[in-house]
Amino acid sequence: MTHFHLPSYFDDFLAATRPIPKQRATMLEQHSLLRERLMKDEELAGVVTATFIQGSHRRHTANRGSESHPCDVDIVAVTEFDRSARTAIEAHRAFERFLRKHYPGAYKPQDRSWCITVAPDVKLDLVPTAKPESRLLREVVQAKAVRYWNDDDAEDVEAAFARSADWERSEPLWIPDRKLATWEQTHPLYLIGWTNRKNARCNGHFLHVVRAIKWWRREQASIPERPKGYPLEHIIGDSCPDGITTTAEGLTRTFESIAERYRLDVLQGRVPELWVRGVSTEPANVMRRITPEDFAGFHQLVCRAAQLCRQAMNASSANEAASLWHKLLGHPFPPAPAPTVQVSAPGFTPPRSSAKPPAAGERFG
Amino acid sequence: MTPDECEKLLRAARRELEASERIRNIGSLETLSSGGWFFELDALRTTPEVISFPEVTRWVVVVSQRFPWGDLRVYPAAKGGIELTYPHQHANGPPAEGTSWRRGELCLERAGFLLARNGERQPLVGDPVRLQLIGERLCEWIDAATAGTLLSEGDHFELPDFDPSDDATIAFAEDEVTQDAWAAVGDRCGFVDLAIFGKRTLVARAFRSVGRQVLVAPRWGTAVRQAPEAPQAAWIRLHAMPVVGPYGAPMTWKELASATGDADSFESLRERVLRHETTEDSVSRVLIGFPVPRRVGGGPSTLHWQSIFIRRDRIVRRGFRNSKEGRWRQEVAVGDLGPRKKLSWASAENWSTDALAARGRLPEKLCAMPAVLIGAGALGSTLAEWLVRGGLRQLTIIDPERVCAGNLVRHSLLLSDVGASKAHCLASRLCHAAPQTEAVGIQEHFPHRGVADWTSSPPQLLIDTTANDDVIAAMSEVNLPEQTVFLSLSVGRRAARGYAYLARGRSFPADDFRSRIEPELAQDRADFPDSEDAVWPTVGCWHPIFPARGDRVAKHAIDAIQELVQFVEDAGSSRGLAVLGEQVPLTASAQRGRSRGE
Repeated sequence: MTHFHLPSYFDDFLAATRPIPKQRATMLEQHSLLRERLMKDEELAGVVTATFIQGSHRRHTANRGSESHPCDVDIVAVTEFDRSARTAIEAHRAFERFLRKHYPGAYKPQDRSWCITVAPDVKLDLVPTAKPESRLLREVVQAKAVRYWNDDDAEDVEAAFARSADWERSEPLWIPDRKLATWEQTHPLYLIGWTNRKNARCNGHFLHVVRAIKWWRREQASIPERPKGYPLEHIIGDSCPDGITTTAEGLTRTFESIAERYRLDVLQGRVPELWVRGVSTEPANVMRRITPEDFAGFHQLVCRAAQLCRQAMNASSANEAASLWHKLLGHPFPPAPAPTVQVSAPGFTPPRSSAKPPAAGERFG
Repeated sequence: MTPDECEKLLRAARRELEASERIRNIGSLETLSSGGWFFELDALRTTPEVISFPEVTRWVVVVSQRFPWGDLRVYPAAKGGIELTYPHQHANGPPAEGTSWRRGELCLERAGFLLARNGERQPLVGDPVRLQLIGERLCEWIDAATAGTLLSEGDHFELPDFDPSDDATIAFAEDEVTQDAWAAVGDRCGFVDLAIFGKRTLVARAFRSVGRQVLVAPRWGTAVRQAPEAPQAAWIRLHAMPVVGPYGAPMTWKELASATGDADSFESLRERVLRHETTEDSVSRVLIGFPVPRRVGGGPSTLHWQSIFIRRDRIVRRGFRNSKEGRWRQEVAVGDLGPRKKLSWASAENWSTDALAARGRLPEKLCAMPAVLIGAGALGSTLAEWLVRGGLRQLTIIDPERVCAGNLVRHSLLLSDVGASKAHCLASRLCHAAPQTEAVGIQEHFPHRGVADWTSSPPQLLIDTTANDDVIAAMSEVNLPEQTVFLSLSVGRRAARGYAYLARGRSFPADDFRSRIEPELAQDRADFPDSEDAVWPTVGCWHPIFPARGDRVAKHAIDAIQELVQFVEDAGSSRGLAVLGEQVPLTASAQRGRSRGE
């Protein structure tokens, strides 16, 4: 049976949903400015020892921004704060004066970060961390490949990861959760490495699947507020099978896998527990903020999406498949074309006569 | 169109390829650093193999940044693509640095070898559908490659791509006449006299035996005969065209020897011409000749030569003796004659009249006529230029004047010729217009001293472009031993009209000429009175000149050629006057002159 993977359609969809150059330029300009300001601030200069980019932007799993779904750059600010001497709330609050000075009216606190709006479609998330407790981690966060990154350096990052396993052998960072009033572990560098390896095992399509499902979520007329962001990406990471050869296949099998994997949890009214990657002791549950109702609603939509994907893969023609994918993913996915030039019948036509040069009447030089 | 618009069109056109049952796994659209894009795809073979061909092959489509205009090329991918060279494909060498495709571009867009065979239209440049059509052509190419029908009996013959890396060009003149000459030659190798022409062209003037006797010497014109001598090369003549795989040119000595079908004989011929007593004697170039047909499946029609450049070892290396034998062993073991050494082929061109005139040629009957041109002015220079370029081989030009700067507004000569003889400069220029041309300039009035030689070597075509009654009278007094074609060409005022008088005979029929042209000139004078046009070129010169734009003069000269061709071809016509380009309103299309002949 022929499956219509439509790789060119997905390539065009991914190109249409990638952050536009202006957004990338704004992200680069603004996160560079924030980091520079942090390092020069009279109060924080002695506190912030390093900054680096993490999150979906760095993992290449972010989509094009809009006012309703702005681009999001996570900046980790590694500090000298001692976890035993400073509470999570104090550590979080330590940045407020800086933000009031440089981003008046444009910032707001979140549970574990500060959200700064720098453009209608771009925001920055400033994530403070505690002082690294090991020398290895202190060295890692100072490493050039960690600190000096912009999204044009994708190859350098992967090459750096290939060269250095230290990043992942280092211990997690502690970030303050002001809502829970506690320090929590996270390992953004491990996650970057994990994502790269997963993507390699998926022949480069894992990142495409993540972006496509995030976009699918955005296109739903009605979807529970959560899971979204990193928890959604984590679910996809656990469900996307290795060895996929196309985005279409990855999308179909991931949706089907999510539908099957969590069917029992939904039936039992539970939210599955998924643990932060790279943290071995007391890892946090990335799903803890999701209610059973929200997860059930999400799961139901995933089941419908899985059916639509499978229909598209099993369609009887490329045009039919394109229409179904377009229905799933919305307008950035190119619709099926209108009927155009008749494609000649496939198969070899034996020559009827010897070849003649083009007929007279054509222009020539 | 903006680059974004071009990209949008390309993406839409690329999606259309998904509808093909034979194209799969279309890769992402990547941007080229030099501008434009490329993407990969798989193409499936669906026909049974007659010639080995993988079931799935990977290809790279490289698209111009001006899509749907500009180039659209298809190459085998570096990974998963074919590695051999087939007909209608460039030499399929390894990828250039920084690219993910091999060099063997397929001939899909311009060549009509597939489409024309089935009567289908060419892909449309400027229409996005051309990408879809290229996809279809790719599949057809694969089918034909698999079935062994990329070259079919009766097709126009095409050489394999020798992928020249030597920046010289080798020119030779081989046709059916020289083919007959070669048939009488038993030698399979020897030495060839080369001349250097232009910046990097080497012309094969004469082929000699190993003992330096002339075996075959094509007929060359003045320019080639007088070109400076270049060092001799060796030549080796094969029985058949050497081909590697489906249709690749040999890229090493080992491949070349093997492709001859008798490697030992080839090696011994090679040694015979390339092994020398001293390094000073050694030749740095060898021409490999082989018969080629006009059509696939046809008999050989001519010989084709390809040249290999060889860097000869001048220094004897350690481990090798400083002797003829030792130096040869060194070159074969570690030098440019080593079996796996990449051959440095040069571009090759057949400069025979037949080959060069493929884009347009005057009838051979006219080309073969020894011709004389009296008057090397505006009309004469244009007429002569296009007669020679059209194939006229022998031309004597008679004009007593020197080139003035004022002539150049409607003359084919250049500023660098100012002050020199019009006849000599024009002859020199025309010798370089075609390699078989022999043109001579005589700076004298007509009749010149050489007219006495016309008794034994008469012209067969005598052209007057002087508009000078003295010349008309002189032509009528010359009695030629054979029937000659006469053309007297002139223009009227403002070059609104041209007058081409054609006649056959042993002397120019001046009376008939005057009786025909006088009424036309009278009309011309009436239409364009003196006072309206006369200009004085310089202060102090009493004699006025009459302006006539160069493009109008040139047009009459070119129109006259058509009259001449018709006259020569129609043996029944004896004389007549054609009035060319009668002046018409600007909005009307130009008319050809009416012919008032017999």
